[in-house]
Amino acid sequence: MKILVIVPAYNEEKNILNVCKELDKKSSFLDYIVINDCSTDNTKNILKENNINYIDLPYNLGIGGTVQTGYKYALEHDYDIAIQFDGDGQHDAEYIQKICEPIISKNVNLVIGSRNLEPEICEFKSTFMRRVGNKIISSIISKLYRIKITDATSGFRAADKKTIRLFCEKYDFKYPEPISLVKAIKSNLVVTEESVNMKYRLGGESSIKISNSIVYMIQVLINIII
Amino acid sequence: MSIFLKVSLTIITIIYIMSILISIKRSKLNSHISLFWLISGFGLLIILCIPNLVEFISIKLGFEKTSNMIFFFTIFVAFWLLYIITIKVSENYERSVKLTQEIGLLQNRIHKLEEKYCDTNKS
Repeated sequence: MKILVIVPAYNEEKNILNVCKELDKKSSFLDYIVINDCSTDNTKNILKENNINYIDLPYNLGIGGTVQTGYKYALEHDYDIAIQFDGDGQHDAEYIQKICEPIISKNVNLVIGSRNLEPEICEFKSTFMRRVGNKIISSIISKLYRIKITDATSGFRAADKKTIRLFCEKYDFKYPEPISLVKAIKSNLVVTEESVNMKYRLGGESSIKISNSIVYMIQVLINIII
Repeated sequence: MSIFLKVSLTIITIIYIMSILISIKRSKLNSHISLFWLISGFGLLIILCIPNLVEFISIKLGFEKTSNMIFFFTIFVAFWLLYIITIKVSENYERSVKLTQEIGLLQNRIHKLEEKYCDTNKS
């Protein structure tokens, strides 16, 4: 089983090295690639100096286009599982094996690392607005497609070959997490969730700001419905 | 309409059509959208040449005033065009994203090949 961890990074000079060190500990069973989304800080040099496998995008694509690059890399190099893993140190590498498990043993196509399945193991609590938005989106998806989803906006997920191929064809650039999840469900792929831990951000800034959250909700809902 | 106004409008319209034709010749406009601009130019010319044509149409269509009809159609066409352009912009954006990703992937591949090449040369 070839496993690839996709690490999107935009201005993560403070965190990226720690994230890579965490992933290095798991290097016996996985490879990883950092995708530098045209960072304006020192991220690229750090990657270069430390001899980390990375892709450097010539201009800023945003989270969706960056992650899709990783899926394209996974397809090109024939990986069996691709895991999306944030470059800000929020995700816990200890749970990588756990979210791969359903793909290996139960023929699941996409596994979402959920923060809300077992809230007691998750250190990180996001803001009230975001939790409400996430809850609304997740419950709409759950009701519409009769599938239990508690964390549709989680960026910690594992995809098998079929899903990788689907994401390479089409991946939303702006609000990729919930929209790609719906796309996978609509394409009759098997989706499950595993509870994971998320840490507090070590530094850097989140890609979603509160002012955008209403626009986020509306856009996602339109995409879910049509 | 005074003769002076009519003549100057006709001249402006002809310049307009000429500049569209020049743009097509220099391939600044691609064929699909250029057709629209050409039709608009010739349409204006026809309106100028046949007096009372616009009034006749607006009465037949039931507009209270001719200017209402002209505003209605101009705004409608302008919105439609804006819509088409927005679609084109998103198409182009998607293409540029694809190219950017491809460049990134290729660079990564070249980098690895270079390393491999250096290693084999050393040994």
